[in-house]
Amino acid sequence: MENLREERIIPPLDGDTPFLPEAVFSEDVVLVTGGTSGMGLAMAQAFAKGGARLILVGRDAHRASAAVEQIEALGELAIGFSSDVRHTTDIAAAFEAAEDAFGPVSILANNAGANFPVLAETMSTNAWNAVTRIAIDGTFNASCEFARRAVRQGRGGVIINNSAQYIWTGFPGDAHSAAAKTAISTMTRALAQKWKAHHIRVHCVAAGFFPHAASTGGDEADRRLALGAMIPAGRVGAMQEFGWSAAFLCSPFAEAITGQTLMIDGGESLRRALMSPEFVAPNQRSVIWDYQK
Amino acid sequence: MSRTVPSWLNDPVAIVIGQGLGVEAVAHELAAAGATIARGPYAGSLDDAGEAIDLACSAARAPVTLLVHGEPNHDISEPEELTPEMWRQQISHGLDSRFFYAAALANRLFAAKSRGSVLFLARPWREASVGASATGGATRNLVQTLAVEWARDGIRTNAIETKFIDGGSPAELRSFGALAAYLLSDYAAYVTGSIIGVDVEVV
Repeated sequence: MENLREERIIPPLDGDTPFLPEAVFSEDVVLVTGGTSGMGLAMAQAFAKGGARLILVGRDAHRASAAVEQIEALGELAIGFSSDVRHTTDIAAAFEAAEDAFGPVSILANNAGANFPVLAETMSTNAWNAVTRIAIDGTFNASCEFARRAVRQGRGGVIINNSAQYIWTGFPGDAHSAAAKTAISTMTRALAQKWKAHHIRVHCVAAGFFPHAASTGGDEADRRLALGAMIPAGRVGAMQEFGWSAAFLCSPFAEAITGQTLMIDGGESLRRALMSPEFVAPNQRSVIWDYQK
Repeated sequence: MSRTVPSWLNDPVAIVIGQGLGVEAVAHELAAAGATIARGPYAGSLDDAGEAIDLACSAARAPVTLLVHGEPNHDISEPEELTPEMWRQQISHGLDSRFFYAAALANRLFAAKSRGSVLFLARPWREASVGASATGGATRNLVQTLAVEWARDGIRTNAIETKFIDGGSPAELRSFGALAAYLLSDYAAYVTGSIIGVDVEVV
């Protein structure tokens, strides 16, 4: 696939490029759900580069220890904690562990999520529940646990939620995630309004394609190029760019910003043409997320 | 910690259109981030915008690669009390000028095979006067359209929609400026076609 105007594509800055001051998060304890790989780990690394201490929550203990090692390699402290965000007792236990290790959590990153293509008419109750309850209930559970503690302790804080680029358009073959990811964005605004008086800011980042080692084909250069060629910006997103967006919104530089959703997708959600390939209904496609019959 | 953002911008020239406390806060933060700031008047045509950009290039002795376009003062007259001239001026300054500057800059960037970034500052359209609601809605869809048209040319376009364009507390104006600096910087190279606000109270 030819990537038109390759020479004009804006490349990502190198991940080691200084962004925020080194000690910007040195007083912060950051809890990241789904923080042991992919986009959650990218956020964790961005906070660690600002001096934060991290609690990486995930369901896989082995993955958690590998992620903790990556944070420690940046010279910061981290612990892993095995937890399921759908269960409020699990969430409370994660916050307790964080407080015991480092003190009260001051920044919460809600990244836990799951997704897989499935036709709406063939979606099982379990499939629907698996995606929506992790994203919607999990974000709500962790946010409320965070806010209850912050209000009780008389301090503010920041929440950053991870959403997706298809939140304003829907996405065929993705009814569960399309609904869930938009709920995260709209809930962001409601919680920001509710908790503004308590000095809790709530943000959302809606991301496009950010392939990573744990995503399908994410570490294959050819696939990354093919994905990039589909996108107006001409490339996929780099993990450090996602991390920077989250870190900026949670930093003191954004102290008066709240309730917003930042779309970071290289223009992917806006791509359209008056004339398009023949529409193939999702239930007639060979692969649900592709156009081919 | 410094109250202004780090040096996120690599010494670009930014042309800033519009007045008001919010626009000044953005210009201040861009300068702190490393930009040279040039000012331009609202433009009534592509030629007007091009002349202002060329003048800014000459004064700065470097090409303009960043554009920030604000909005004219909020006219709170009742719609039926606006004269045709008042109405046209609101649309001209709040919409036409945005397009003329963006297109004039894009053409210069194309010719120079250079990258650039455009940022529109607007009031929340739901809260605005009839003129600003028209230009605010138009700006939303314009910024998304230009983003797709120019993404492959290395030109990003984004918008900040906020009541702080008319002023706010020092912290609110600092955050507004910092958001502008972030969006215009290469740290946000994957952000284009985005419309973001500052505060939840605006809608």
